[in-house]
Amino acid sequence: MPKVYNWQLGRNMEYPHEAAFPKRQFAFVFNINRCIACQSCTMACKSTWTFSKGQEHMWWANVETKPYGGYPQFWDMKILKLLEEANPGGQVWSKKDGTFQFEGQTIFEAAKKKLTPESSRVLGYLPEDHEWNSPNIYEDNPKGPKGQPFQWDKEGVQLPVHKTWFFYLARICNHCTYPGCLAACPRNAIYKRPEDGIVLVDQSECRGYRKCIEACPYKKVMYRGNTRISEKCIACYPRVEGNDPESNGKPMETRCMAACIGQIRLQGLVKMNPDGTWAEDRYNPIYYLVHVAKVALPLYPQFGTAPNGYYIPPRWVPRPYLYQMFGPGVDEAIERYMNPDRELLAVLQLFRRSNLIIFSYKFEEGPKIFEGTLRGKPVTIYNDTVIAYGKEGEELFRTTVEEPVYERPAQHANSI
Amino acid sequence: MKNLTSVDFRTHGKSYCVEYHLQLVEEAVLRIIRGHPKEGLFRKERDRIYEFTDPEEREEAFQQLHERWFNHLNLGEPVQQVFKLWPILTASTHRCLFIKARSTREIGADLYLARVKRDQPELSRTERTIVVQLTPELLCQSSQFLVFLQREMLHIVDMLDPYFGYESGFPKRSLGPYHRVLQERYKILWDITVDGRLYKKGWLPSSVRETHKMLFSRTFPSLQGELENLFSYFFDQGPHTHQELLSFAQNPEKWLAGTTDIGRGFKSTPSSKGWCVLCQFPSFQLINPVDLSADLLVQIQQEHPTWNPQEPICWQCKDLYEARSLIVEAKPVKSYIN
Repeated sequence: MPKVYNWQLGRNMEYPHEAAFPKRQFAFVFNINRCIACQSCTMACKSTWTFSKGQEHMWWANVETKPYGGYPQFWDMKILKLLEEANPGGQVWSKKDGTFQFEGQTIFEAAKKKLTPESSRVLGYLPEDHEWNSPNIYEDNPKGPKGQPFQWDKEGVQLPVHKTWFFYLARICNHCTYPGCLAACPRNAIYKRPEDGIVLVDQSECRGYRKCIEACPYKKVMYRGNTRISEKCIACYPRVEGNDPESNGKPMETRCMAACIGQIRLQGLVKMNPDGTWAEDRYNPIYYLVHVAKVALPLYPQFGTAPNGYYIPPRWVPRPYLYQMFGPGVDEAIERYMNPDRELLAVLQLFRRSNLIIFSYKFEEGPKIFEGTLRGKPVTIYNDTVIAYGKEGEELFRTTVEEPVYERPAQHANSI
Repeated sequence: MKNLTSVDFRTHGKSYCVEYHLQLVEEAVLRIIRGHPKEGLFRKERDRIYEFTDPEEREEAFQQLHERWFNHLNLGEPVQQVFKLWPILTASTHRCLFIKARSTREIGADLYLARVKRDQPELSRTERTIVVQLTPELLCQSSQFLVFLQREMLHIVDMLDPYFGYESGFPKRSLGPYHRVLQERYKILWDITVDGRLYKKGWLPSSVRETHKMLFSRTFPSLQGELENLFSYFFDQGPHTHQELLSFAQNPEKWLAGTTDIGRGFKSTPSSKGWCVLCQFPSFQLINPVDLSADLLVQIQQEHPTWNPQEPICWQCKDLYEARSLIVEAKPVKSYIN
């Protein structure tokens, strides 16, 4: 099997195909600390792409409540269990010369253990129908008396107290650098676009083998029963290309990003090096958040697909859970997010100020507006400005750390 | 476009129709073919159908292919095996329908009756249909599927057997919360008798006995002294009847007192004083409603219009209604903000 370099693992790994990388890569950062699970992203995607017959249980974008929720149910627990069975006790990270390296096995390497049928090139499993049927089952359901379906408590005056932690995990296809779905397709019907790294299923080539569904560790490829063809998130590519009528020829963020009312999402296109690492692009906000500030981390990097979705981890969640979900770097990411420097604070203001893709930004220092302490540490806040630029270097918008206040002149008081 | 595929077979000299939901057939075939030695052949055939341009022709070709492979892979074999075990199934019903369960909670079998007239005393064979709901995954695991079918079909056999005398619904008295307890007890008893018979035939592992015994002791904790004898009576002996299971579930102590063999020497715990007409649970502390306040009586009657205030109620119900009246009387705590 060919060897490819996976920078998220800090090492080479086996992959069924030779490495090939796009010029730019579709990537995104989700700030979990701000997600309120309003499901606006879910519905924006659903109403755009998956509202037809046969797609009733198909949700390319979803938000699930962790640790107990999942779509399909228990997707991450199941694949983690399979990996543990393949490599008992070996799924660990080591630190050498200050850099982390994954010592365990990826879904491609563990496939040799033959826990799945002989023909599988990737370790995975095929979810059962009932696991797809109810995307948020048991997450926010009213609780009724035991054994009496659809009978809710009529006198409940108090919500149950959450005695444990939880958080909302928004998910779409990660448009991985080494996609499991692509590796598993026996017909090569799945491909990665050379211009933006978006992973697509060629609908004319797919024959519904469902190897991709079995192989994608994030379970983001879905089978449509009436056409008997697999479908997946297309990263709203007409918008990303700038071909959507709304975009006026400018690259635009996806529907799920644009609909995010919690302003947790930022999407972009990062430059790639020939070896699959990201080319240095210091003032691309995605590059900055992932490689400079290092506050955004990949989801389950140990799967080995090099996902291009990055998350700012939730600061209140027990660390062992976060280490498992986001790999090493969690402590540092949370520390930096909770005590941001001036640039990071400014870049965080870029989230959802525009629906156009930001290709670079400029940071301009502003006056001091606050001095005090926060959680026992001295804090100084400056009203810095961040300016966002588009594909051709044109200014998209500029915003400040402090939200501007517009005072209405007294003469208009109580009038329209 | 059809939804079902039927398989006709003859057993005990009668022709019988088993029908499968096509979605179930397709999904089962797709699951079992993964890694099967004939997967290549199947894929070759299936791939060709994608070239069909006419949607109806294409759909029909897919259905035919999956039906053909369903039979070729013998996925319906356990069904035929089970029907040969109990002739009453084919003698008393005319059709068995296998449909896809939407969730694991729906998995199971039931008997459906097409009663033409409400007071029709006897039903003919053609008016009875067995409906089995299951997941494709279960259908693919032939050994588990066989055990599932044996269990479910033995329940159906009981429902059809005049000696067992199955009746749907429970006595009127068991409405309210007690109904659920009774339902649960009856279910456990019936499952014990079913698995007991399957165990005797050597179709279930010995662990099943212990599992049921544990459930039995949890369900009837007052019978600890006679647990082994009673459990063995239901698990190892038989045949039992619906009425017998029901009366045991309703009041095990009374049932024991009424039986000559098994009840002899049985030391039961003191039985309850009676039944509370509100919650339908047996109670040791029944109280006379004459002692209750007029307000409380009104409140109870509002929720239980058929209740006669001469009938005793339990302490728990009295406490509940008293507590409710206190809530109504309570004034809101003055806000601390102002």
